[in-house]
Amino acid sequence: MGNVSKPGRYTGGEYNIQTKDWDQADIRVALAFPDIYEIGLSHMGLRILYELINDHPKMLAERVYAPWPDFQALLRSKNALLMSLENKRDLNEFDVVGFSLQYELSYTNVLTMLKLGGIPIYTSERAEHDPLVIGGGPCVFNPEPLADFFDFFLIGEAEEILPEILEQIRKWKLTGQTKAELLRQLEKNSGVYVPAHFQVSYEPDGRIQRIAPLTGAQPERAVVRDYSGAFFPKRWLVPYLDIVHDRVAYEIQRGCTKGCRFCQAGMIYRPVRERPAAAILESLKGLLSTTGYEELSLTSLSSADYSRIEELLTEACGCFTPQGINVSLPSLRIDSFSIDLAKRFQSNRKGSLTFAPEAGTERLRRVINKGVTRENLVTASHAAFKAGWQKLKLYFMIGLPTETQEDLEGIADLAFEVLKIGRQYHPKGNALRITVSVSTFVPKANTPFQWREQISIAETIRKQQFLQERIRGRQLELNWHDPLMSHLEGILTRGDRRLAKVIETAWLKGAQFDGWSDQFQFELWMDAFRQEGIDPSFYIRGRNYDEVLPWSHLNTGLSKDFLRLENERANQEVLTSDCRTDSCTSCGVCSTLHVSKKIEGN
Amino acid sequence: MAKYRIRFSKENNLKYLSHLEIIKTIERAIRRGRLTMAYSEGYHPHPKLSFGPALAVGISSMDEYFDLELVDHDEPERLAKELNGALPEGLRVLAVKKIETHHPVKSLNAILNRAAYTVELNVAAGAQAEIMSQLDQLKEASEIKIARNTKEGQKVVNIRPWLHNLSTKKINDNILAVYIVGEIGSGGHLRPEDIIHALPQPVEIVSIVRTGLWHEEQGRVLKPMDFCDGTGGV
Repeated sequence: MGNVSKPGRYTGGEYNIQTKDWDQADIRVALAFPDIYEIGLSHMGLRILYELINDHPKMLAERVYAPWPDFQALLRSKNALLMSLENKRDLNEFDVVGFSLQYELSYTNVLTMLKLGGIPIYTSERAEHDPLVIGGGPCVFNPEPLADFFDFFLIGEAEEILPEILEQIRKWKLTGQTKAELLRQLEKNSGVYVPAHFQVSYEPDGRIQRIAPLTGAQPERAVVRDYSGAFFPKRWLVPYLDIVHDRVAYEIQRGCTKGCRFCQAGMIYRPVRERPAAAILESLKGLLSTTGYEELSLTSLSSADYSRIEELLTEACGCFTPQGINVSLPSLRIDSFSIDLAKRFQSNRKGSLTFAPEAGTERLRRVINKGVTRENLVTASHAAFKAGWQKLKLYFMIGLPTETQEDLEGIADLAFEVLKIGRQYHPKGNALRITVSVSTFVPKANTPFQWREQISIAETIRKQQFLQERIRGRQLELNWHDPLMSHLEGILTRGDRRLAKVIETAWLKGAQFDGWSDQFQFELWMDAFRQEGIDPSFYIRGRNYDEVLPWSHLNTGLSKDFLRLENERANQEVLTSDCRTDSCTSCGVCSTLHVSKKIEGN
Repeated sequence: MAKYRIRFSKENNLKYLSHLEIIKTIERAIRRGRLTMAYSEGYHPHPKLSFGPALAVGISSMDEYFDLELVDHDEPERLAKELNGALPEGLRVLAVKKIETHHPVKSLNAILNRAAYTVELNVAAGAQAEIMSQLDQLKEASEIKIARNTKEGQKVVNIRPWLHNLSTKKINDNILAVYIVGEIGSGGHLRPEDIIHALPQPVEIVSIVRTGLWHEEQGRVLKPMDFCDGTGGV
């Protein structure tokens, strides 16, 4: 153990851990995260489910994260299986192993964890006594590449439906029925999708011909209807290691109505729902006193949009800053209101402030429905530098639909403009720094851009090189995403069931931790595609509206007409307004899922 | 304001925590214990909390220290109780002593220059006598040279001047215990495992425990708690 890097990843025993009596539980769930501890424990969804399940007297939830290669080697050398952190039970002893699927480049880690946990990777190879392997998270909005590895997926928000589903599994255990019978019952719940109950056929050119339901199931996204009273953890786990988000993170609102056309989260977490401010403060007091944390963060997709954000922040700062607790607010809009908020509570301005214009020109920002103007950015930059910040981060994407050379130039122009403003306020400014962060646009399922083409590796590199030549100089820094990783992400995120073999083959060749630049081996993947006779570029091409998409049988509440209209409006460079402040955009979610947006301030 | 010197132990799985992780964990326990820490002034205030010499990852300890300044006064016994109620299993406050603030008190790092360790080795009964005699020879040697990784790359260091005492004891047929007292602090730093690695053959280390920290000067031995009244004699 002493020779393994960061042994604290595997020891458990964190403050507020819940280690329940294994033998007293009727249902035992392993919450599995296919990345390392520091990332997995930072994920709020699993924290919610961990406590939600453990609060049930007859149910038990334990955690397991992907072991780093050095610990994998140790397990193999000792002939040991991958164990949970709480009761140190082998993964294959659980009734349910639930994976949180946040990122496509962690798919091979799922296979590693199943294998190390003593569970056959294909559902078809699993016996009745093997755990039910289930998956949730944003990736399951197109889970098709993983279809063969999972018994079922939970699409959407799990916290309302999961206790009922686990109760059904508990009853099933007592009856001695087969798994096949269980799955037939479970798929009657909203949110449950059993991939084996759908048969996919293909056209000779590789496109999907038909996705045939074998049982008549119609999978639909699960959604929390009573969000204001929705469960939130009270016993926040406090790790010993430095994790990515090492603080109390409180989700103040879910969903976003901005309607950016590239943003999957903005589409799949609709409608927007807020928690009551008083309840948030009350919970925070409890969480801070039982964790001893020195930092708290009020999270959501767009925190400044929370209707009572001023009141909430004022109260929170009044309560917690005298105790030396830092309050932070991620995901700020580019406007002076946000800067004003940030200025008032963020006493430490050594860190950087991030703005996300996303695109370089006004035109392209209209295409993606990012209602931000150059003037917004200029005003916000003035305000930020004036307030004392010297580090500004600007976040952009390349490869957005309709992008031209002018749009790329626009990225560089904005960077220099912001730098110029910074120099006005910090003329000596040794710490002045503008970081331009550029990622490659990856079209995602269930967004208006789901039909769009993703740029090739060569084009990505060409665009990155252009920016590299333009954006250089003192106080400027340019970051970009690995073009090969974005390419693979693009393939997997809009992939179909035929990719299971490719994932398995790449994994057998040694692919894992593909999202880690020091571990990523693109060649293994290309070998796997060649070996399986699959052309990877097939998956990043543009699609016609009449093409059957791999995820078209999954109902997310978003109407196809809405997504299509939004895609068309992008071509026309027309903005769509926010349904929080303006009229309904008829995205379909409120009516289809029978839940309406809820805004506290109204 | 009130200052305290606190002695604690670090055991079980928490021996895998790094020095910084220990600091963070204790800081959070202080907050959970509803104790109000004093903060430094300035642009980026931080709690007035200072720790003794770092312990390497994987070594447990029965004798660690930190100094803490609180806004409120508290009885040492009650403070110990509150901290122990908020600390995770594996970290335990063993003693608390109030520091008299009207005398300047040197920091833990400035005073501590000796550390004692118990190293348990996995040695079969038949080989114990030989290992014991080899360790005795190390103690008698005029120099013990080992390779150490430094910022400038590997360097050969003579650790003999830092070894102040060494004795061995047979625990059972498999385990041999080695007691080591070494220099720490600005005058040099002895790592107990370096002594074991200096043996002519590889020997498996079962565990290392730090059993004591103190100040020694011209034969006088002072524990950190002896400095709390500000006299300390040095």
